[in-house]
Amino acid sequence: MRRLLVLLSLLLLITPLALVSAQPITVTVNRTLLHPGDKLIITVNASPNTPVSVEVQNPKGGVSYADQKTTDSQGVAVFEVTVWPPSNWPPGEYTIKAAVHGSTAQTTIKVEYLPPVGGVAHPVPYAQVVLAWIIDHVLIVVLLIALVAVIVVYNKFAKS
Amino acid sequence: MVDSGESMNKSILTLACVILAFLVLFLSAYTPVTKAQQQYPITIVSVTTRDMQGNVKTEFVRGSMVVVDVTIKGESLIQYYYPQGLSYLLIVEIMKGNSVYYIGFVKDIISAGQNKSTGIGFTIPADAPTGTWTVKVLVWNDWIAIAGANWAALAEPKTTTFTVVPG
Repeated sequence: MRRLLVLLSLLLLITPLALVSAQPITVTVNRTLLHPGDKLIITVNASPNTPVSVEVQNPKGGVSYADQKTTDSQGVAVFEVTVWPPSNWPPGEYTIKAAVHGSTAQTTIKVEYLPPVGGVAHPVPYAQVVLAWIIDHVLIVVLLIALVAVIVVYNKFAKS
Repeated sequence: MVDSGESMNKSILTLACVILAFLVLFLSAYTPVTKAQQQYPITIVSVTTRDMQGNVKTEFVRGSMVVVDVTIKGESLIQYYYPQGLSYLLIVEIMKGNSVYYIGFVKDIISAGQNKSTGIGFTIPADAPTGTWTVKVLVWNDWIAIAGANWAALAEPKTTTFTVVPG
């Protein structure tokens, strides 16, 4: 009886202590592939009414975003950030870390830059443009030369 | 017969004490600890925006520099838990809407009752959007990447705003 009582006492006293130390946290994102201008929504689930933080580490080793909020009565905190300006969001893989006192969680996202639509204009020397035009229109030029030659020959024969 | 009755009474009394202790610990695990976490050891006293001459200002033209002046205070509980002083990370984040244009930080140590002021400069880009910008100040014990599970918020965050106008 006494042993049982001691065991029961220990169990009852340890249970709440274990509850205090356990501070589970999860972090999720609305999307894992983003482009400049996209909105990143980070949702953190932890204990209710607890301060939580997020830190977005960029591929260059810097921090692109950091914030702190207190979870609501459901234990949720939502962080929103726009992937802009590009100088703060270099392309590559990012690590999103979330923390409460006693626990951390992390996930990853990728920021990708799309090539500009319509290509890029490069300045070209004028002579190169003329040469390119001649090559492009070589058939017309040859035909013109041939026409001139026919006219000249015709005129020559017509005179004689 | 009387001895076994007394022994039973003692057992019941002990069990009642244990259950009471359990209830106290169980309830304290949920309410007082959570509230105690929000009694931060540092208070952000003020966040003001100034120009390079130190004048308080809330309207800036593109290309000019904003100096964010932050004053924090070490609360008295620091002297009980950190008699040697509490090291902190102060983060200043400048945002337009949800876009972060600047993150600056300082690391330092503060003692109970001590006030510390920090000025962080930020040049507004020449092509910056006009309108209302937000400055958010956070005080943590360190970056999450460094502190890991030991991360802790040391102050309630504070924000202020300033306006950017075309130059």
